[in-house]
Amino acid sequence: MVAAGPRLHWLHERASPFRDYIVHDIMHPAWVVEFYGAPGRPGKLLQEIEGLLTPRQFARFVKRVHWLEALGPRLDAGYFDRVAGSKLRLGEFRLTLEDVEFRVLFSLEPSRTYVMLAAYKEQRGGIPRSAIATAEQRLLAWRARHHAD
Amino acid sequence: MRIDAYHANRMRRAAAYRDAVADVESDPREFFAARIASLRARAGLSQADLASLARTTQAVVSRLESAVGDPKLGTIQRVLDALRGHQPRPRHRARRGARASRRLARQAP
Repeated sequence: MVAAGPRLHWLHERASPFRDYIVHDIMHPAWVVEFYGAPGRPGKLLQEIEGLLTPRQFARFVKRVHWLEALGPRLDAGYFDRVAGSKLRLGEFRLTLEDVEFRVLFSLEPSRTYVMLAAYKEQRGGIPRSAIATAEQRLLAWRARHHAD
Repeated sequence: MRIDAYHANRMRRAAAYRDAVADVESDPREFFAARIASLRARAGLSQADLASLARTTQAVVSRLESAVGDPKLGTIQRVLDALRGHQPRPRHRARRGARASRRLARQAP
């Protein structure tokens, strides 16, 4: 691989991925990415995701979520897909994490908020029906809690 | 739950995760992946647009952004050159440039 030499100095100076959103040393995400949590277990989905991935894959996953917070839909159409057969208009966040094709089902809510609901490793049969059902159930629970707050 | 809170907690408690984060942070492919994705998105380009500017395929750009495989130096250079051509010029430089142009115009016979 290449070391950043004089030819690439512009890349260091001007291309910090989160530069636009750092004000007084505090990062202000342009988009909110919220992971589903059960009452009393706020990290439920993130624990599930960590259980599906190796530590290195999970570290890369965290980085991609930071990109999503900074760039939102500008990230590229290739990272997103619509979930066919979902009554609640779910989307799919599509990632390649080393040798794993990883997908997270989400809903884009008002106030620029991605609510992440369920995750799975992609296999040949497409999106597992159980993942869609889980995601829809969680979205309804999230909305009920969110609107009650 | 937000990812930063979870990440901070795992960094405190899981040595394997700390090592993995250090590994990923030091991976040059990850460095280029983050910068290419960020510059491309801010220039308003899709992966396919960038691929056509860099005379490569969308799959190659996607692999660069996913930090997978072993990309060729020439490919990285073409992609970065294409991105460099699409970055907006900083404002102060543009103003300085405009002032210099006006001065030259005044000096011209």
